[in-house]
Amino acid sequence: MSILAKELEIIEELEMFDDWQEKFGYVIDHGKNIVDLEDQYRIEENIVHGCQNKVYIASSFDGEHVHYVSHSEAQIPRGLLSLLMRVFENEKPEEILKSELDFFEKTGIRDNLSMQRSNGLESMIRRMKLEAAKYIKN
Amino acid sequence: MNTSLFDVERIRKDFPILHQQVNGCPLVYFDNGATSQKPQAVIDSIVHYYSSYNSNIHRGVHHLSQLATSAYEQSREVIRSFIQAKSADEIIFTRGTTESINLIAQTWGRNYLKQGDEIVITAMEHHANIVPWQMLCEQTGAVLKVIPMDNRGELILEEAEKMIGVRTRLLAMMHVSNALGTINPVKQLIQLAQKFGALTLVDGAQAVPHFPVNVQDLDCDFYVFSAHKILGPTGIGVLYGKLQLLNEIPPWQGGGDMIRTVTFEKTTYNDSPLKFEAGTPNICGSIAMAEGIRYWNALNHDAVWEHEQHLLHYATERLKEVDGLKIFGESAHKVPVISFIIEGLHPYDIGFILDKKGIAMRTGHHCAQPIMDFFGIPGTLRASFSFYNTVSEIDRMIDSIKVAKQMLS
Repeated sequence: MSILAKELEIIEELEMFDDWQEKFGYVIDHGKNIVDLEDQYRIEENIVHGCQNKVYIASSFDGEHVHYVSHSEAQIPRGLLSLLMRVFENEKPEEILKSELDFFEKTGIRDNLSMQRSNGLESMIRRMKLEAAKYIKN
Repeated sequence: MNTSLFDVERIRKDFPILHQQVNGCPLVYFDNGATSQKPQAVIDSIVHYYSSYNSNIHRGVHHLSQLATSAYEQSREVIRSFIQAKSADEIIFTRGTTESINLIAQTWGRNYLKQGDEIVITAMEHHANIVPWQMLCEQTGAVLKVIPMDNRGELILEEAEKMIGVRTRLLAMMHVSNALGTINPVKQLIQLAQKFGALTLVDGAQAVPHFPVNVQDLDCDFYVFSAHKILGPTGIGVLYGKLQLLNEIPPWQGGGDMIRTVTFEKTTYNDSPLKFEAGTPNICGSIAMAEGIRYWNALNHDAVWEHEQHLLHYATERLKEVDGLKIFGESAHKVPVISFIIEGLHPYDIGFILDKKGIAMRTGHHCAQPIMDFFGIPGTLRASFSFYNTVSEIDRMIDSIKVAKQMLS
């Protein structure tokens, strides 16, 4: 499934919810999919700067697709991370880099974030793209 | 509580910002420890200044300049009276608490401290009363000592007695903790420091919004606070210092207004307070600050205290209804500030949901990271009340915390 198709899937899932409370209930529940990060990844260089709470993102490459691991202490960022992981996981680095994610806007999630939290989300997206960029051969 | 002395609904009418919806809910403003809201009189004083008599002060002979100079110097007198200083010359306008502390560190400290001298602070200080002294220690070789606190968030006075001694040159401490609400026994500690000839500086940023302060009774050498925490605008605050000391200390920043005569060979300086107010000051800020103090002066302070303590105790009891909720700062002497966490939940998540319910509260370390390290937590949620808050707002907070807990569990 392409990144775009996965985004549409999330948009569809969120369409059934009317208010922020239900939408963020979904985000929080989604965060429960993230498996606990192993200690080896909890290192300074995997910390995403620009987030209010501690967020880690790391990646690996199987020669074709990128795989991510991540962690956030707080549940709402963890939910946002898990949605990002869902769209970017097992995708080609070129596809990740050229994607123009807009499902946070289309679902109204972005509108409900304060500026600081929105910047934190932006930092996560940027970091995931930077990870993907590492695997592109010049 | 005697409501005839204190009509909170009438008082709330003076604060236009309180009457608005946030995220579709009526605003509950519980972030007063970060900054207070402003009564209409303060807002009007700013508009009036810029629409009627805006002008530069002290040097102008024209009408507007005289009006502005007069209002600026009257503001100094309002502040003098507010903290019961002996002379208006002891009141220096700064950008706020932080600048006031830095001024003392970089004038008195840089000129009078030497290697091995000791500066004593407390374990509950705001970063503003830690970092300037650390910088000063790096510059002079002085040593920073920290009076520890106990699990209730109270200073351990026996440790203070051991720590303060012949090497102590300055005791710098907060009157009231911004993160825990504790009211510290500053008078007792000042007397202890004075036995050894040490100077004393009190950070009153969180004290002046809650109870009257008398600097002559405290007998501290310096007292500092910010206008914006007591009904005034941001970017303006006060350094009080005993006049003799202020006259001995060299100036900090050089420029206009702080000089008596300037030639290329030699410059002589003005006396306090102008010696420490280089350049065009925050004229409007000082005037609006004084207006906030006038508003405060018109309140019945016993009734304010009673009302705020009622809010504190009511909120503390209601928060205890929430399973897994732990309060940090359990001193018997507190201003209405409650820091807490809920076991297993991150303060940022709860803060997000409270915001969605229109409730403004602070999450994080509250610029007091050493306190969070002491308790072994990343941060807390903090509800800090003002006299314009109500019991029904506390009920809304409790209901919203219960919603947050349900969503996050």
